[in-house]
Amino acid sequence: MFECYGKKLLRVDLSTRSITEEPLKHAFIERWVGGMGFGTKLLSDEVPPTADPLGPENKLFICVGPLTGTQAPLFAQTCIVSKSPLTGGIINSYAGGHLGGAIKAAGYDVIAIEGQADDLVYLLVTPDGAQIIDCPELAGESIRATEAAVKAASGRDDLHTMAIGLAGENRVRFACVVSETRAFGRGGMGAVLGAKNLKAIGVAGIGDVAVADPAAFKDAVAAAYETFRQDLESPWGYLAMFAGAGTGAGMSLVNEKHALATRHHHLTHFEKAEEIGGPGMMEKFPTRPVACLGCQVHCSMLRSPVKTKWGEVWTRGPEYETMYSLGSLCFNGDAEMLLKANDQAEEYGMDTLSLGVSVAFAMECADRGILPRNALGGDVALEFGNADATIKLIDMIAHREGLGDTLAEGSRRASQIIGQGTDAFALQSKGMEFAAWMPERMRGIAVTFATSNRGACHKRAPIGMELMDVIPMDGIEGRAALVAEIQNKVNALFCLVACRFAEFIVPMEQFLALLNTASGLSCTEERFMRLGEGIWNLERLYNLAAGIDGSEDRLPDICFEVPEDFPEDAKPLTREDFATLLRDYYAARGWDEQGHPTSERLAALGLQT
Amino acid sequence: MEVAVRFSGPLRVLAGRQDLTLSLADGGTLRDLLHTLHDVLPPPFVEQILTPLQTSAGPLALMLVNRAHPRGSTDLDRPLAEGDVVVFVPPMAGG
Repeated sequence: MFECYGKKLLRVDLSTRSITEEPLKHAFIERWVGGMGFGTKLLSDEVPPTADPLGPENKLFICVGPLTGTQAPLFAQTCIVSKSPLTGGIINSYAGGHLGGAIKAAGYDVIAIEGQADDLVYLLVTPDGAQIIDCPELAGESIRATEAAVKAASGRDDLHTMAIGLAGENRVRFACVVSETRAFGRGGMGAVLGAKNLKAIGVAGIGDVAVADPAAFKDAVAAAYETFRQDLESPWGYLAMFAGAGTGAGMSLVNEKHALATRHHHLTHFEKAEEIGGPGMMEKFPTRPVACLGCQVHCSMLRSPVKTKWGEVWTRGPEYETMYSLGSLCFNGDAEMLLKANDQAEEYGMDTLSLGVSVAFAMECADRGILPRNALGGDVALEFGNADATIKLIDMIAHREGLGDTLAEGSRRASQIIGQGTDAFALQSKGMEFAAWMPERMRGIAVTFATSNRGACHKRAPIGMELMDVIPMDGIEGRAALVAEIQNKVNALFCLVACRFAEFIVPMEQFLALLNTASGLSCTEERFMRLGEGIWNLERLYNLAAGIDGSEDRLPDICFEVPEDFPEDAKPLTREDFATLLRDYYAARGWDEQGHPTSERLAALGLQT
Repeated sequence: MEVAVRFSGPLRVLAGRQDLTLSLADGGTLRDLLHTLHDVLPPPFVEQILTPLQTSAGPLALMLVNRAHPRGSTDLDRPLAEGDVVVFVPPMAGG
């Protein structure tokens, strides 16, 4: 039983510089399965909900799943759970790549980071042991340089890393952590690491990952591969499209459906979308696709160096969400600018979603006369479509200079600092900036943004169903219950730390076959979904204790205004519809009218208050 | 009547063009439009997109008519109207 687990947690206390190994109890593994489940339970137990996210009390739990490092396809990701400096609530954040495989091969399911180092350090975990290493010379270094330095110092070719850049050190509240070009993007994990003075983590492992029933597991892996093969070999396969042009290939449909947030939600359609979308990028710039560990989709696009007016740029992506946030939302149709901005974000270490939304927020403030056009200094005008303004503002945010210092606090805090009613159009829920979707057009997105424990998260929404007209985009009936079901399902899959792409095509029985044959568990679909629902409720309880109650299940006022090019035959989002959706959502969850989980529902989920 | 046709994302690359306008007889259907496109578009587009659609082997999700996906193959025989916009678009979103 539990053969595919390391069954160990590595605890690193930066305050005392102590490093210890702890066994994970069988009951804990069976109850929480892995990944997000492990992290959520550990954070709930160990970090007070009122703790300062940027203080020593906060912890990061870096978690892998039961299928990480096995032959099962699309389980390369790693999950971080912590308390977010952006939202003040619990956060889970994910990155693909190769780090997760290294952690598993090193024999761990979880690396727990706690305390606060006196000076800048990095953590090195190798078969020779784990150690905390001083690195004052890396202060202010870019992520790429930091990862290279840590690898070089280790002398190991098999070391995989994650690091923060200047933004994390400066505690930009949406600073991210990057692992070899893949980002733990959302929620400010880079700021948490920065506050702990932890610049990087390097992990090398040489262990094998066993499975409970090798013959049955082999069959389960073969079935999963066949599912992928059928999709990837089809010219219109869902993942085949991502494999061909990266996630940016998805921009076309959103734009054609008039659901692409453009010019800070004043428009639903961007005339230059084709120029900055995935295929447009591929036509302009040399590209080669790269894959995460064991993945045949290879959606990540690596560019050759490109000479731009801002200097030479080397970058990966941009991903679709970045094409929205720093592209259409800022009314930027300049593909070179997008490469440069994406490169800046990767080197400084900032979540491109929150970054782009914050830049667009400043442009909106300038459009409304709330901020002066010369707020950036010099002759760069703060206005939509000005590529130079975007590039300059990104620098200012990472360095916390001038207006950049305000925006580095995130859109919600920035609107509170600037005042003048700007909170009405700050694109955020619970402090988390909007992902690339419009609540004005998609009711599932309206519910998801408002109710997600992470804030305006897009990871658990019926996006494909709405855009493909499987269900009407502006439909109300049953929408909230559907969102709740998807939230539960994705939470469960994030216990396996499955790539979100897998869920698009892999049927549930294949996930369970992989899990059960690898672990020896006998997890049914009913139990698996209950696991996801239990984690959702555990997160909700944590957020409630942190002061995030039902009053924050909301959308900003701008979502109830009608964009200029809103389709005549479509129905705008009304406050009445939203109230109905929220009421339906609470009912679907078995919560009371204020959005508190009921004791009956918690008892049914095995959670005690 | 005239119907506007656009190609978006990867399908624009495959079609080798961004848009065109087709003249169809009054009462012409989506199926008629697909047939007409055979003579206009490059062989890879015909082979990978048009032929599967006409034989109902391809998903109608590859098309939008006035921003909506056709609902089932019977929609192929629905008459189009002057000013309709047909878009070939990849059946995917997000990332």
